[in-house]
Amino acid sequence: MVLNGSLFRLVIDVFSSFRNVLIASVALRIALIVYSEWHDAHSAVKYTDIDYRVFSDAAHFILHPSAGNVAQGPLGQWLGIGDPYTRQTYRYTPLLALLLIPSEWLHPSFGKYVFAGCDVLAGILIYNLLVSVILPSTPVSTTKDIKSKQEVAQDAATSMTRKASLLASVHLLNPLVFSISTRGSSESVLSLFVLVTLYFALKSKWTLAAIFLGLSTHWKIYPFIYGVACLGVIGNEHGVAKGLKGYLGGIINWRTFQFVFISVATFAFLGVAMYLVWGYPFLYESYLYHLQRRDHRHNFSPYFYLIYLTYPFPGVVAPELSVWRKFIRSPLTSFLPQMILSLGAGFLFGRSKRDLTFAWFIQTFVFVIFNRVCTSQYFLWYTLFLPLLIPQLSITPRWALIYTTVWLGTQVLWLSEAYKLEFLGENVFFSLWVRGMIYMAGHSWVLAGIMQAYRG
Amino acid sequence: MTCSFSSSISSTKGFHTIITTQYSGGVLDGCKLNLAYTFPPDVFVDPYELRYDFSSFELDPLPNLELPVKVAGHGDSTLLLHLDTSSKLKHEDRVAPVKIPVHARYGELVAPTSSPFRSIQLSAPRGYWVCSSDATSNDTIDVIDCTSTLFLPDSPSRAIENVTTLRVPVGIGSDLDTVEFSTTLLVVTLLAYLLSIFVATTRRLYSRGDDVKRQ
Repeated sequence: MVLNGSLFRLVIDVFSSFRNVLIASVALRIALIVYSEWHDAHSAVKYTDIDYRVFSDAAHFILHPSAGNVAQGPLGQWLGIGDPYTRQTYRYTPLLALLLIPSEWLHPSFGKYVFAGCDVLAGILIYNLLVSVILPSTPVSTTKDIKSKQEVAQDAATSMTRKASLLASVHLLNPLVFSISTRGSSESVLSLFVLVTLYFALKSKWTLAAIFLGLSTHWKIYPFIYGVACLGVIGNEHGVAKGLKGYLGGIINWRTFQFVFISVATFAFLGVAMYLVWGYPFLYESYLYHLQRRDHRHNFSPYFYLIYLTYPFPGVVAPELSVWRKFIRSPLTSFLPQMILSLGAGFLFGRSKRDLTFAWFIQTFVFVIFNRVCTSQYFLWYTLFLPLLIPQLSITPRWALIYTTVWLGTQVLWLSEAYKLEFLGENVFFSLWVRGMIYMAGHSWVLAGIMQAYRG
Repeated sequence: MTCSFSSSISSTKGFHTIITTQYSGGVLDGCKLNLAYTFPPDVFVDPYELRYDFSSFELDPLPNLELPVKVAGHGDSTLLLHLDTSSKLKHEDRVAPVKIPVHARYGELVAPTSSPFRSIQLSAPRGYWVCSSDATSNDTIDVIDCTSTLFLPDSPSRAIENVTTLRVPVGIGSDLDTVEFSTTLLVVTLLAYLLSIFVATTRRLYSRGDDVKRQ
């Protein structure tokens, strides 16, 4: 027991230095990427995510135009470059494929190094935000020792950097984070953009925040929800007025208009540029597809089984449905609770910079819970904010363990049944759907607990 | 010259399996060794996955990778592989085994009185040499068929008439009412629950005095 306690203290001491955390993070990611190449060459079950092949193939198609593979926008045909959307299931911005083009020249794993690099940069940004903004504004426990002001300030600074290192390691040394990026998933790129947006917002550099919000939304649609929280923060920076009129005045004024304009202009500029080169396929695959997608294959969301059971198979006569049933089955209906909660959280909690991280965390968490499709990578969208949020939470270790257990346990419960379906061929569709319901309820309960623990 | 292919399937249950095919026999100089697979519409091979392991193949038609079986909208598909026999020519032990990952689509729903599984027939591939003759003015092509057998994973010594089945589960149509009602109820309940937490948290954080202090 003494040895375990000493070992624990040693580990804490080592990772209380951000330099050590960085070195460990970089080394770990390089090792995993190198391992992934060996593993994939020697095993039928690949370490590399199928998505990485999708991105790499899209980059390949851009570089190698041919008959049937030409960019379909007016500028694209003039430039004579290929179409990343020739690659089936590529549903991302062309910028991602362009980012991976060096994988064709330099090394096939180039993209993985980029994604891992974005992880590390995100960790540096998290540390910076903790040291410069988050931790200085949270209460510090004082001791009764008699110390000079200088000594007290020095102790506080040391304590803060130690705390920031440990919190940053929640991201940098998180197995979910480093395994996803080293497997070749691109989530870390968007995570970095979102963190940069948050960084500029917390520093009140709203023009830059707006630009990065536009870029983030171009990359993947969901970050637009953060703009709602930003409106309240911008409007209230110059004082909080009372009542509904004051609240509306805080959201609708020339400063918020400027923010919205710059953000929308950035999004529009990128969209138009991509459309000019790659045409309608870009518009459809990046955005329109997601409005009517039917993910009938199993995933965490309990919607999957409903989608499979109501899939319009040709030759099967669709029954006459009541208006109510048509409404429930519409792909757009699931957006309602999702938007009510994610936008509602933005309006309710986006009132000061102090609460901005909390607001974005809540918005993202509900967005993921109520999304029609959910895979493990989606959890990164909100766990990203945890290192920044933890200093503002008041949770006992016991409850932290309970929440973590429920959060993880509901996933494990689902994964164990999904394995039976996918690899053992057992007919567990119904029980898998039940576990999807448990996942949704469990994660909602954890979210509620975190909200109740938030002290600001 | 005798030549034969023996294939085995990694799993007869689930949505993913791998057909591994091994060649035995001599090598014909100047000829090409081909493997031709026929797959029913219930399964597909991913051409992007194949591209990483095979430099020369033809897949017709190119499959949709996401749709369930009937919606994918085509009949059988054929995969033609042109095998590299250079390892054999270099007097190495054998032509490298060929592994083809096969993925099953989700099938049409069934009634509760029907079997909740669908059996998909997978056949042994046809293997053959193609030799073109330059001696005559007509460029005749000789095709030499090889024998082809298929073994089950749990019976590696027993060939099963070149056909085996992959068993995959299918959804049961009668689940719809329960699933639809319960999913809707859960979503509405959680919406109401979280909204109540939102309101309570807002009141706690932004009560009159606290809001001013926190600003």
